[in-house]
Amino acid sequence: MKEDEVEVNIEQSLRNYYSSVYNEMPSPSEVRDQVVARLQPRPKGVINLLTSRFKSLGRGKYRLRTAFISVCLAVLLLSGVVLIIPPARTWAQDTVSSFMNYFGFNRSTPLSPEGKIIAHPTSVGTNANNCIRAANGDNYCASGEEIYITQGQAANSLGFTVKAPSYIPNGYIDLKVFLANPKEKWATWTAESKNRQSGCESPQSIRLQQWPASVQLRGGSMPVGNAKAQDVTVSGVPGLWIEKVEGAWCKPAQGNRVMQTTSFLSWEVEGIRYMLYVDSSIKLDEAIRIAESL
Amino acid sequence: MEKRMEISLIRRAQAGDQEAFGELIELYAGLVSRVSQVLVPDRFLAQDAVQEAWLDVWRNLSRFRVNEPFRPWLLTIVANRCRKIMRRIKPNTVSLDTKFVQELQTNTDLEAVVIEAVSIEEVKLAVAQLRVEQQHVLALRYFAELELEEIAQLTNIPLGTVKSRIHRALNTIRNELQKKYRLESYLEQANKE
Repeated sequence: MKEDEVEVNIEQSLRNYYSSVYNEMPSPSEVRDQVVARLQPRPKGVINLLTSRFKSLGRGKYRLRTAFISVCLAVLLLSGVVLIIPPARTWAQDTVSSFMNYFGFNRSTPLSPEGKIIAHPTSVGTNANNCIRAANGDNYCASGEEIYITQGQAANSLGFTVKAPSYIPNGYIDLKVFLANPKEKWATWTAESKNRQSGCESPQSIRLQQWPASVQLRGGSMPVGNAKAQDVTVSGVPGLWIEKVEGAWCKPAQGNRVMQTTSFLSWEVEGIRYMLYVDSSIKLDEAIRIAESL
Repeated sequence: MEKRMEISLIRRAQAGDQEAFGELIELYAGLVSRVSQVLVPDRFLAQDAVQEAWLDVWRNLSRFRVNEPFRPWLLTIVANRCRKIMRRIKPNTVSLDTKFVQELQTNTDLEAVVIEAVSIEEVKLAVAQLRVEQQHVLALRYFAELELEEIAQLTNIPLGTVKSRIHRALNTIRNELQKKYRLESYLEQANKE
């Protein structure tokens, strides 16, 4: 045996060595026969999947973990579907809301004129209890301390009788709901333009905010710039008319951007202060007619 | 062609065809037996491990994706089964080479062993000088005939570590054999003189 042969033969020597060490294992055909004799017929397809996954559920931590992960994935998948598909989202919000109602977890809930609480399809994350379907068919959602209530509910919530004009100009629709803040004691009635353009809602509505004159509202002062102010009389009491106060630029879905301008009529009757916000296309006499129809 | 045949066998076995599964067993029986023997030193337990591993394969075959290589998947199942068995019996087991060395040290009829298989005994003694993990990797490489990547996968150690262990183990064996060769040469020379 030469020294360089030692170098060359190591690997082969190892193979020979291991072959001599490990022996007397059953032949492939013997292994085959032994294993096949112990095989259980395996159910196919979905049944196999179900039985193999859940047959021994609870016997080991890995099976429990698999079941837990499967449930989490299913919930995630369902949540994804609910978030992506608006009808599914509405349905889910309705269902959750109904469920909460059933078990009495709801706060005082404002009802729509139709008496049905609905979820706003575009207000993800908004509390569904503060959403309401108005008379124009749209859904309105309030957040924070503000809620939507009906005229009948307002007296209980605010402690004074809220009023809505019986006259509104042509082209507007009474929403028959009030946005209210019971803590700050104010409520706002709204009529929307029937031809309201998306993106420029504010100048196309008539709003009447009302609150006890003894209450100082937050942000009570309002910059009017160069707008024209005029003393007027509303139902025999003095009032103030401020015309075409410039607001912000808005961009309608169709057409060029326009400057929002609003006019105000303010007056006080029996300790309640009223502020009528109108589209600046509405003139003073029309505004007074609305105010006097309370 | 063989690959296609293997895929066809797997597909049929996945559909519950025991005959096809039997053919698959024959195809890989040698590999599974060798790996089991290395991972489970006791011969009878190794035989059990082989059978149990194949039953594991049968139970899990429906989850195997046919477009992926079968051999690594199979080896993982075999290794897991062997580990389970070893966990059960570990306190009483002794590595094969350690066992051999003990036997050799207590054997009074040493000459008979040496005369019977000289070169193999030399390798045995050299292997016995190795650390257990080196012996393990060598057996997987030169008995189970696994690729280096497969050894890394089976033993859960990095590929670089596998390479270095094999390299060092071969060096140790080479040195041991060379020492013996030099001693023999020296004795031959001395006898002649």
